[in-house]
Order: sequence, then C-alpha cells, then structure tokens
Amino acid sequence: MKKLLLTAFISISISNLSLAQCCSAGNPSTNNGAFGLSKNVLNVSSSILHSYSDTYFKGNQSIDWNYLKNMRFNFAMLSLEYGLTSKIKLTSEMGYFIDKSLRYGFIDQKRKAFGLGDLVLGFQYHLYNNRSRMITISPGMKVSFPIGAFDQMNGNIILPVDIQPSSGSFKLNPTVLITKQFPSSKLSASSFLSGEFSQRINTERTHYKYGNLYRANLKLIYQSSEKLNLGIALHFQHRNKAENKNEIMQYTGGSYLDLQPSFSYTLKQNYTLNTFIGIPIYKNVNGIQLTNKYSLGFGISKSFHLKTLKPQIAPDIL
Amino acid sequence: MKVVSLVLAIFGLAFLSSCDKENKENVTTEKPTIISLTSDKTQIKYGSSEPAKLKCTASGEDLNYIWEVDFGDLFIINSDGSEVQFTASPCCMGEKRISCEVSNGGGKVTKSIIITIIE
Repeated sequence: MKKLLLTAFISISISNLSLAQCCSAGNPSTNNGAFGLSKNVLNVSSSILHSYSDTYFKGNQSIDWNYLKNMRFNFAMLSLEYGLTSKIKLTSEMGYFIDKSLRYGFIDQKRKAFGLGDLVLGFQYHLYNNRSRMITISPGMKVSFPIGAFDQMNGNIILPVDIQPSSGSFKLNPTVLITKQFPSSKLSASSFLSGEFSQRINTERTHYKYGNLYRANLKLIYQSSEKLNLGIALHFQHRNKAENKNEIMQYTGGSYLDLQPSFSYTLKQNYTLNTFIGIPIYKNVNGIQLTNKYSLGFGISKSFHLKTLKPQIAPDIL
Repeated sequence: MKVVSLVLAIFGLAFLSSCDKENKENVTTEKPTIISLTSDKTQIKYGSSEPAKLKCTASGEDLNYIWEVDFGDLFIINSDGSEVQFTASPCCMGEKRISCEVSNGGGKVTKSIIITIIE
C-alpha cells in the first residue's frame, strides 16, 4: 500500500505545468512523469489551472506597452495514467477551457473563448533502474490530437488562432524523466526533459507552425511527514520562433525560467491533494510580447489497484 | 355545437397560418453578392495607433457578416457588422489576409483583402 501511495504522490507531484508563455492555443503544456510504475495501477487526477498575464517584455526587460491589458485562462484537466506492465505506463490528458479571455488596453473590449482543448495520449517506458544508486531513467512519447474548438467566434468575429481552445495542430512530445533518491534521506530529486514539435496547420485560414518547444525541469521533493510532501522546482523553457506562410514570425518565442513551489497531501483512501504556484523569475522574449505573471494549479487524484477491485455483482447470481 | 364551431375555427386559423408560413418558406432568398471589400490603409504599424478601417459592401436581404483573420484583432464598428477596425500586436507582422463572409438564407460568399503589418 505504501508503494502505491508513493507512486500516486510522485506521479502527481511532478505534474507541474508549463505556463510561462501567456498566449498560445491549445492545452497548457504538461510535463508529468512518474518515479515509479506500478503494474495495474490506474491513477485518475483532476486539476484546475489558472494563468494570468499582464506584463509586456522587450527582450529581458519589462516595458510599458498599451495593447493587451491582460490575458487569463482557467483550464480544467482530467488525466489518466495506467501501469500496463511494470515497465510501461500509458497516459492520457483531456481538458476544457472554462474561460480563456483577453482584455484590450486601448479599447474597452474583450475576447472570450471556451471549450475543449486537445487530447494527449502517451506512454512512458521504465528503461533504467540502478537500485544501488537509486537512479531511474524513463523516456516517453506523447501525441496531441487537436480535437477541440478551433473556430470559436465572438459576435461577428472568428477569434484569432492564439486564443482558440484547441491548438489546431498535431504535436509530438518526446520526454525523459530522470529520478534520484538518496539513502536514508527524505529528499528526492527529479529532472524532466522534453520537446514539443508541432505539425504545420494548413487550412484556408492559416499556414501556421508553432515554434519548437524545449523544456527542462529540476525538482527537489522533501517528505516532511508520511502524508505531506513539499516540492520546489526550477522550470526552464525555450520556444523557437513560429512560422506563418513560410515566413518566420520574429516577435514570437523566447526563454523563460519559473520557480514552482508545490505541496502534496495524501488523504484517506488513496486520495491526494496537490497544488503549485508558478512564479516567473527570468524572461527573455523575442521582440515585444505579453508574458505570464503567475500561474496556479490545484488538483486531486486517486489511485486504484485494478487487480484488487472486487466485482460489484457476485458471479454465482448470474 | 358552439364548442364544435370554436374548435373548427381554431383549426381553420391554424391551417391558414401554416399555409402562410409555407408560402413564406417557399420564397427563395437570393444569394448575397459582395460588391466591394475596401480598406483605408494597405499597411499599418503594429500596435493600436494606426488602425485600418475596412468596409464590406454587399447586396441582398437579411445579410449577416462574419470577419476572420488568423492573427490580429478585428473590432466591429457599425451596427450591421459590415465595417471593422483592424489592429495587431507585434507578434503578427507581415501580410494578413482578412476575410469578410456575407451570408443569408440563399447562401454565402467570401471576399478577402491583404493588409501588411509593419514595425
């Protein structure tokens, strides 16, 4: 049971989100991974994510720029993870933008979108496990499917691509998770590296390609009690410039570094509460861009060991 | 007897009313025509200082206007939705194709215009 709880906690505690960029279509980028992989364990988690952006940057300096006053979103996400074998874990994520809106600074108007985001399916493989050094390495792969809303309107206006709930693009997302535990210590560490490569959107409306995204996350977790775990992470991400109609969009992409404190608390019956806050500590954008001010996440998860589930109907009555 | 007469009268009115509705539905609406899509500028600077004003002139009945651009911001500036103001943030430099779709019960037509966003 302890192992199950540990697996549940760790898989959630690393589920920080990459919200450094304020304005891009589709789901907030996730970078979840797990230390442990328990066969036949299903982990179901539900999260609410909030992001707020109101600061323009030029390069690595904040500037006064009166165009967008702010941009925010509230995103509800459902994640499923299943240990297919002791080495392979299957993952899926789906989310819904309850509110994705922007307010202009130079005119008293706002734009609001809501609806289903992308569907993300993936797997993670437990490649390497050195028990004496307590190191594990788990590569994985995710694919995003643009199943959500990509043609939302506001009155007589079809909303621009960057506020649509779905990204409108298939994405490939290779990942590597490296974990390290320390003997007789309540401290553990993990590093999560990932990339995101988007397919060009080729429609009548646009020929847009998101810039490639590269992320690195370094996290320390301290188990302060049997139920409470505290975490602190440094999350770096770099996005290349986007392309539209085969031209590079010069004022897109950049580098961002966030500090992400988090905690996780295990309740009875394998329920786990977790929360984090994302605080930007360094931003360096190409040209002038609106950047993220803060992000928040709150979630609850539960793990089920499917082999131990009892049938609801006694077989002898059938 | 009075009740029967009343019921017959109600059914009669309902029948006449439905005939009238059918006749109305049978009247075909002509597909709209876009006469012109114009802009007071072909090139604007990013930001809000120099918006372009676009006008979609169309003929037909019960017209509905829908505007679209992939990146940039459109704001309706008149009551029927045939005129918009266009601005863009720095992200969106380059050529932008703005489309005006006009529709009614007879169908829809679309016309586009290119506006370039510069630094």
